[in-house]
Amino acid sequence: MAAIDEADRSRRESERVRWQEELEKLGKIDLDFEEWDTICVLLMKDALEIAGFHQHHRGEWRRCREEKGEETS
Amino acid sequence: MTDIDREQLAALSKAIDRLTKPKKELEKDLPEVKELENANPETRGEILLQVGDWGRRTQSAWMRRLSEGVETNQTGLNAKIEQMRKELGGPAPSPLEQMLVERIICCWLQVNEADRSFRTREGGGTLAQGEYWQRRLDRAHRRFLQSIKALAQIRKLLGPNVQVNVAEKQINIMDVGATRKEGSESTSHPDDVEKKVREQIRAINPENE
Repeated sequence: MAAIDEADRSRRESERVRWQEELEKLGKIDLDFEEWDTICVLLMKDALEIAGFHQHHRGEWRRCREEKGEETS
Repeated sequence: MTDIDREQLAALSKAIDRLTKPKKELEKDLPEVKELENANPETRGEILLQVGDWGRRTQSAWMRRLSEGVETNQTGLNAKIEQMRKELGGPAPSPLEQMLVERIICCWLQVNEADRSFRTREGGGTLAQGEYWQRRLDRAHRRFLQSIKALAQIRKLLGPNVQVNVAEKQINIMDVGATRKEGSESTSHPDDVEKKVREQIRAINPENE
């Protein structure tokens, strides 16, 4: 009985180690990707703002109103 | 690190700083950024292309996991990705579009990897592990949809990219359709397009005038 318990414990331990390794490996790729993805989103927003758009309440992008001075000139 | 790398990184960090600032400060900074954009559009394009290349490195990490080291799988994936790149990018994508296409491909690879991981573990592992794979798949799927939406949004708002070659230099004019107002028909007249093309040529090659 003790031998069965011991075998079971060792199996669970090796599974736990494998799971931790997998999580670490995946976590690294996920982190790299998320960092890159954030920069992509920021650059996209930057491009739209420079082109004269603004994001309305984190939703759709709208063209900014022209300033009064430009309209009258 | 070369001077051009430093210049690109400085511009990139400035862009990121600007976007993380509150709205009031952001508005104050806008003319400076516009100046930077007008002064050096090539540098800006270079930054976007560099960020796109960074995405390709992330793609190869997903591809290694998906192909499980089998060469034929890797070749098939490469062909599929190349096809996606052509279909999504179109004939003359701007640097911004190229970057967003790389993002879509990356997200597509992530969804496939998350789906495969979820399916291969189905029935095995603990309940917590099953939930982890399910959450990961949901997150990847959501991000994939967002990436497609972003490219569509850029094309809708900034208009299709127009490419002109002058003295072996490629000029991408992105804001041709940006003069359009919401809810109205496009106001981009062919003469406006020509005027913008001429302005860009003048900026790059003043001797032609």
